[in-house]
Amino acid sequence: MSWGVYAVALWLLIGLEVGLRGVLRVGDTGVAPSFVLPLVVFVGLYARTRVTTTAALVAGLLIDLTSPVTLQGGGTAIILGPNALGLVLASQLVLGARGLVFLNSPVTLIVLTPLAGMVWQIVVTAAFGARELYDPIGFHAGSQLTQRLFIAAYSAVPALVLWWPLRSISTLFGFDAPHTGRYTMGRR
Amino acid sequence: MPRRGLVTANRVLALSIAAVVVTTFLPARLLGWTRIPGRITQRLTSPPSDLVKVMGDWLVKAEPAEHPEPLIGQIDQLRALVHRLELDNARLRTQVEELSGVRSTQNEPMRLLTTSVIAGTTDPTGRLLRLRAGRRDGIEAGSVASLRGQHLLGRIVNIDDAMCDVLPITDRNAETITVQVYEQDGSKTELFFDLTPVGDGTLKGPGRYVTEGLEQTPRSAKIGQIVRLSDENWIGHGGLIVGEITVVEPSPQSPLRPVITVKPVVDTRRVSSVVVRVPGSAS
Repeated sequence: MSWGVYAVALWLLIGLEVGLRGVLRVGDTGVAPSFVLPLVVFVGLYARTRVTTTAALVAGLLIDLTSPVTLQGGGTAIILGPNALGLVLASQLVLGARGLVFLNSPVTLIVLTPLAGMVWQIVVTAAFGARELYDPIGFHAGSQLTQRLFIAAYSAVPALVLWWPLRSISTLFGFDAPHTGRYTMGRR
Repeated sequence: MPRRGLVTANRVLALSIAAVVVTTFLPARLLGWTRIPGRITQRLTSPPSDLVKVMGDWLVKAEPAEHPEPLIGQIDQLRALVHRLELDNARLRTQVEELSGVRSTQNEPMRLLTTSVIAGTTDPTGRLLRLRAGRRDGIEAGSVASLRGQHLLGRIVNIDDAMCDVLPITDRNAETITVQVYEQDGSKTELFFDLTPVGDGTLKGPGRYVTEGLEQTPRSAKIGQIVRLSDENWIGHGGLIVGEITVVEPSPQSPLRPVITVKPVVDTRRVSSVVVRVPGSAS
């Protein structure tokens, strides 16, 4: 896989995710879709196993580094890991499922994105919930999990929108996993 | 068959994941070193998000901060001065000696800087806002961000040369603030509340007991009344609007003591620019 193309795509999609949050947010809640998740799932569908895991790790680290959490008393800290671990595990779900799905169908990305997102958000909630036991940051796992599962489900919308652009530039990614030999990239 | 080297891609990946597992559970005080890569990454990712946010703000008509005209700055200073005098008056009756130090800090004038909001955090549940201004623009620790000149947004945290973060008063980890209730016609009441952020965008807290004079009888606030900041920890920013009372209920522990829920008038998550109030130099 071309890491340069992946980096540019990741950079643009993080920008879209953060920039469009105010527009796509549901009411007064923090529920807004993730644009990075469909990219990680898309890469997971076509890239080699190790590349998929590394790409998910990189995306997760990027999210961790740009998401400072507030501490009790007014400070902030960057917790490196929860999103990275969550996306790595989410990518394993995609790797497990890709042998069972139609790779050339947009429905695949639309269905797998919320499922992978749920894995991602459960891991993030569990990690922050566990931290709360010894390093309180005012994290309420129950309400956060509900909110985060809605975020995962909502991410199906960007998956629908991103399928065609990602497919159209898929040759630039240069996926070379053996299982994609059954399909010609960019056929549809 | 040649042996593979010690450093292989699979081992590097496994080690990276193991390191991430460790940092996930490290206490926050041991993660200070992540600030620098965090800052670099935030700067690198801000151009596309900034561009998209400008368009998004235009679409949702996000709250702009009014440009701080010199006259507005003077009005703001005078309002802070009046508020300070009122606070002094009330306290002097009982605590003249304790307030002498506070008054000396309240005499500081205020400088108003307008700056745009670059973006929030990548985590959608986070409430931190990142501003395109930092130390080189004159922002200092303890500065306060406001909207439309009179709505309190939050306190500045994490300043570097070019950027800083605002911790909104509605963030679950923001500090408890003391507010005073005002009637809808702008006249003030003698009701004070200590408000703590709930985490859902509102603040909630009990009223303070009035222990002297004829005011001993508990009185209740009303839905729709405006509450303004009246906190000695926010010297010079007193009088800024915190929000509107949306719920009034009796305290579970003390039924005669009201507990109010306040919702900021301005949606702190849909903000395009803010006014930063920097203590120490005139507008």
